[in-house]
Amino acid sequence: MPLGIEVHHDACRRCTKCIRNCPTQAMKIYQGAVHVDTDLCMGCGECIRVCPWKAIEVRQDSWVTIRKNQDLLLMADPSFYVQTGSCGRTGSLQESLTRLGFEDISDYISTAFDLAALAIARQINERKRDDPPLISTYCPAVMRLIQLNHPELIDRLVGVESPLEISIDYWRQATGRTESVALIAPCPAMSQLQSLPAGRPKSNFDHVIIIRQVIRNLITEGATVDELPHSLERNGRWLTWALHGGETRHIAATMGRPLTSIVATGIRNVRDLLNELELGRLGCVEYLECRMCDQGCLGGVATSESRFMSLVRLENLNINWTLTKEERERLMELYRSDIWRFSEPIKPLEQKSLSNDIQQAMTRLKKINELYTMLPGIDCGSCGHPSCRAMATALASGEGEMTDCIFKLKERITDLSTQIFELCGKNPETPTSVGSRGQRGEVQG
Amino acid sequence: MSSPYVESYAVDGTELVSIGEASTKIKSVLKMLGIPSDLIRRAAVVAYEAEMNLVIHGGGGEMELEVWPECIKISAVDTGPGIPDIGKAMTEGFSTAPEKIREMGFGAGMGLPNIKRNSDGFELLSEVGKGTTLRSEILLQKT
Repeated sequence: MPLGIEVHHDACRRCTKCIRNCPTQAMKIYQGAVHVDTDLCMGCGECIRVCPWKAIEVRQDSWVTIRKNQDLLLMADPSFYVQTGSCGRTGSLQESLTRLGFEDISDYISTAFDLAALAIARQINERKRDDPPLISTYCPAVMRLIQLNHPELIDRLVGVESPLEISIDYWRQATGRTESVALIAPCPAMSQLQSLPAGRPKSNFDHVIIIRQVIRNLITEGATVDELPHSLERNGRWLTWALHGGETRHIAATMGRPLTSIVATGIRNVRDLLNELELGRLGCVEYLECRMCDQGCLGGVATSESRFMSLVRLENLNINWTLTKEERERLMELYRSDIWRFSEPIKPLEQKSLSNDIQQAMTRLKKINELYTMLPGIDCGSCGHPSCRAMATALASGEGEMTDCIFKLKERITDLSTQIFELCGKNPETPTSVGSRGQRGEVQG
Repeated sequence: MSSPYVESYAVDGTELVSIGEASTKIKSVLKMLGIPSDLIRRAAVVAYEAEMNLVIHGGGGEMELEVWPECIKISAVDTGPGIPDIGKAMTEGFSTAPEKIREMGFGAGMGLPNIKRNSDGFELLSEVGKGTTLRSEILLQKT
């Protein structure tokens, strides 16, 4: 199962919180266990946030394996670096990793993010004036939501790969090295970069480990993570991508002019914005920076620090937005090498319609509506389906029974007990027991 | 002869915030029925603009979706003030939307032309003082 999440069935109490809160209704409880529909899961991590039993986790490799593997390159998402430190300063997480023997490739990463910003800036400048805005491809959960629910917006996705992937492509190209790479991820969606790559046949990442796990292990191994002088801040432009609006700022700095961009973070905002875009309401806007987590990647479900503290740290960083002449020349050279392009088109993930034949689909939908009106409509999840509509849909295709609904079950019990009660009142002509004979005698007497 | 799939939606004329509810439902129904995505996009624009007109001008009303094996029909009926000059109302950029609504980014005078552009069949009937009925039809291509 190439999912970004993993359910621990022994810890799961089937409380239905996850299935009711999943934004794409990808989860259901079937035969006593939570099932996740691989096609529908976008890796937003909402189920992890709401699970009171800690029964759902981001799918990841073990720290021990990663630590043991001497040839492994460890690359972190920008949100990793702002997990420790003080106001306006990042901690020394990179130094701690280096001390453990992991190579520091932040110069390559920094260049790759500059390159992505440049490539996006160019595409925005090439956009025709009346065209709808372009959409960022940085958040893999947003990408999947578009592939799933807004296939008609796929051509608005900016044609620039995630700078996380570009970083490794560039590092491999520049050094000629071929070691496997592990990504330190802030959320299940970034973990899905590895398991469900979009726009390229295979991800650069061979392993995934979550931010919280790495930091916890660094601390237990006695690493200092809070020392302040830090080398990353010098070129900290790429760190800002962890924060809402950071990508936009980086692109605008590259363009040298203000960018008309809408930044939407959090599931609700992202969905509303994409709906508005689909209805053609965002004419004058050039770019949409969408992130599934509140405040951006630093709000990811697998981070370790309070997102509010990470935000303060990042907002107060002293970042140098101006590129030197050499840096700009180097970027233009890389830009011409096309290393930033997707190698495959982004394909829509077709949601199954009720039937391939429209006539049959119409009959099925009528049946679903009919069944739905019989259900209580409170979406309690007790039947194992995320909503009464989902239950009606399952019933219409012959899955399950009406009495899987506890309200319908109660109705059925009431009906049956009324019938039993009525049957009890019927007196047989021939008495069958002493007790009943006695009663009968009294009534008659 | 087959019967259509019909759904109707009441549109509240006092709520600008909930604009788009009916069109979102229409879109999801069409998705479930397996209508091709380019046609869904056109139907969504028609439904959204018609819904908007119901709220801005009609004071609310009723929308209806009919899906036939050959076509999608969307209608919007209100009992509002009506349109005095339909020809003028169909002109791009012409709008009688109040200032407050324009400030919100609506009422740019593109609604009706947009509906017509996305429809294969289009009909607009209106009587001043009585109300307006809009009917749009989108053909499902035969493959």
